Formats: sequence, structure tokens, C-alpha cells
Amino acid sequence: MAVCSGCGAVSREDMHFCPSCGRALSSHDATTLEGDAQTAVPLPPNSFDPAPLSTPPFGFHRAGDAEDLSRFGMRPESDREVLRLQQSTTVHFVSDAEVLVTFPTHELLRHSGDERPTDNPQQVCAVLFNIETRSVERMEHWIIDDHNVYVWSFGRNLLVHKGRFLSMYGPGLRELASLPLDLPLASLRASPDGEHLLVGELHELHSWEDHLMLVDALARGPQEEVR
Amino acid sequence: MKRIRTLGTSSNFVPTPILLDDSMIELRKGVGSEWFLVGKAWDSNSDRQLGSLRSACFPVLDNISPNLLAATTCDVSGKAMHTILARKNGSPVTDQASTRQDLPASVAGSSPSARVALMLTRVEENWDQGRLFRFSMIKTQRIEVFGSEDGSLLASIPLPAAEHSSNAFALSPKGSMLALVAGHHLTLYELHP
Repeated sequence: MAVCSGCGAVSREDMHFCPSCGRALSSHDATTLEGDAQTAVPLPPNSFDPAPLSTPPFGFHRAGDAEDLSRFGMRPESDREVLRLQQSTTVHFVSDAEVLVTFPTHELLRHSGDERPTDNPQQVCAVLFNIETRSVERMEHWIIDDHNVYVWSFGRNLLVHKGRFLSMYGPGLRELASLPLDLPLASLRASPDGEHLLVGELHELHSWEDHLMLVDALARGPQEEVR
Repeated sequence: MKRIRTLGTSSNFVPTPILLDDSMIELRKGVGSEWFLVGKAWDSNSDRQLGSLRSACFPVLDNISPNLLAATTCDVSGKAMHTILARKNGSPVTDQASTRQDLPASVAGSSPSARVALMLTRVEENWDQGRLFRFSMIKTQRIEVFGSEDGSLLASIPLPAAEHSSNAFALSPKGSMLALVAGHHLTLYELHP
């Protein structure tokens, strides 16, 4: 079997072109998903078994070359132990022609001095691509307040939890509106049509010292009030 | 954007209701493994029971399109999780069962189009749900695209490299393209009509 290095589609080894994306298959694409150990090509350290769980790849083809995000400062994530996948890299369409990608820059940040117990600020890079002209339309750096979800689709626009504000962005990453958040954001739900928004604000019930002690002592952390 | 009203006071341990275009939906525990979907229209204060789900664990709800919700549930045996794309009465459009080596699926919808994408991730065989894992232990990841009307599988796309973020993919508004970040690259896929 051969695995296309372009789209990951699996095809017979005697085929010269990927049946899924049309890319020419080379010797680099040959691997043995079901072959014997002698003919198996060892995968390089960072490569990844692209064999699907059960369904063979179908229904798509790759549109153009992939965009390398390391030129915007994207760095490999450390291989640390986690309980779930992260939420730090995000992808959203702002229109049919524009894609916004955000990712953490892992920059060290200076303490502002007015942090709250629940704050966990990090810097992210936001890059807006025009996928028709294959160009970068905009790049910004944002400080986000925690390690939770920070970008949501909201009808045809996007909502971003940035600093202590909830901002709405439209095509071209134009800021359309901004709502100050007096308290830490506990939860957010947006209706798909972009008409209604449910914002839960966290009311801290403990002193900072007690809060930190409860974080250490309780598996789920302290219970707080949400309005 | 303006604040309309405060709905009430709750706790950070209680899941937030999800929003569809015409109503807000929350879960209420029934008897045994039954969970009721309770809807509240914007212009009404009264609750209406819309349907129910069965799950041995607290289901996790998400809204993905104007009239569909995603629910992650556990089957009664405790051996599998299910990611269900359901109408608001709880009737399933698709039901993806996962093994103990699978992470909860993440979902991306596209409001105007009738398509929904799911990212599925399987970790090494010797890992079990609820335990810590490393990104290097991810064995297989793929994105499946479904028609939200009938749950038909429209595309299955293996990720070209392991991705550590569950939010790194999106469907275009028309549902004709999928954008994906994996292995430090943004890749665009055209989906067949």
C-alpha cells in the first residue's frame, strides 16, 4: 500500500497518482501499512500513522500547497502529559474567502500586577489568510486571559475573549463591537445565527489564598458562583 | 452588543445551557440513565420537555448548527462513549461509538450549510480513557464530514500529522471547504459536492 504524503489517502503501490488528490506518488509515499517487517519503511520521528480508524479516505481533495505557520512563530508543543486535547490553536472561516488561524506564541509575559486568581494570561498570534489570493491579510498578537476556548463563531462573525473584553470581529478582522467583562468569563454560548449570546461571569467566593488552597486540595477545584 | 437580562445564578460545576437559533436547551436528570432535554424559547419563560438521551455519565452538550446539537454520552456498560449529532428532541442524526482508546470527538458546524465535521482521535492501545497521555501517544486522527439532514458520511480525511488542539479545523460557510491546522501547516481541502 502507498500513503500519499499530500493528503494521506491510501492507494495501491502500483499507482502513480493519488486517487484522492491527484498528487504524483513517489517512493517517499510508499509504506507498508499491512506489509512485513522486512519491507517496512520506518517512519521518521515526527511522522504519524495516517491510516484511518476504519473508513478509507474519500470525499475530498487538497486545495493547493499547505501554508507553513512556523514563519509566523508557531512552535512545536512540548510533549507533556495532558488529560485532553488542548484548545489553544483555533481555525475559523470569517467569510468563504478568509480563514483566521490563532495559536500560542509561548512568549514570557510580564506580570501586570492586577491579576485575579483565575487569570492565566498567554499571548496568541492571530493570522488572517485570504485563501483565494493566497495572501496574509492581517496579523495581530492578542493576550488572552486563560487556557479555555477564546474564539467562537457568532453568525457570520467571530467572538474573541481578549484581555477583559469580549470583542466581535467581522470580515477583514474588523472589530465591530466590544463588551467589557467586569468578572472572569466562566462560560459562553452563542446561537448559530449570531442573535443571542449567553455569558456566564464567575463570582469568586473565596479569598485568593483560600482559592489557591482549594485548587490544590480539590480535584475539581473550588465551587464558585456563575451569573 | 448589549446586555439584555441576567438569567439567574448557578455554579461553575453546572453545565451552561446551549443555544440554538430559536431557544435555549439544558439537561435535567431523569430516572436511571435518562436525561431530559428541556427547551426554553426566547419569548417565553416556560420550560418544554423536548426529548431525552440515555447516558451513564453526565452528557456534554454543544450546539453546532441552527437546529442540531452534539452530545457526548456514555453507554450503560461504561465501555464506550458516543458522540451523537441529534435534533433538539434528542433523535439522533448520527451516532459515533468510540472505544476506550478514543478521546471525545470535537465538532465544527457551519451555520448556513447542512454539513458538520467531527475530529476523531485514537491514542495508543495501552491507554485508557481518563488517564493522562502525551501528544506523541496519539495514534490516529481523522476528520469526518456528515450531512446534517440525514447523517450521511460525505468525507473522511486523515490528518497529515498529529494535532494537539481540538479546535484546529473549520468548515467554510458554504460547507464546500475544510481548513485544518496540523503539524504547523494550514491545509485546505475541497469537499466533493
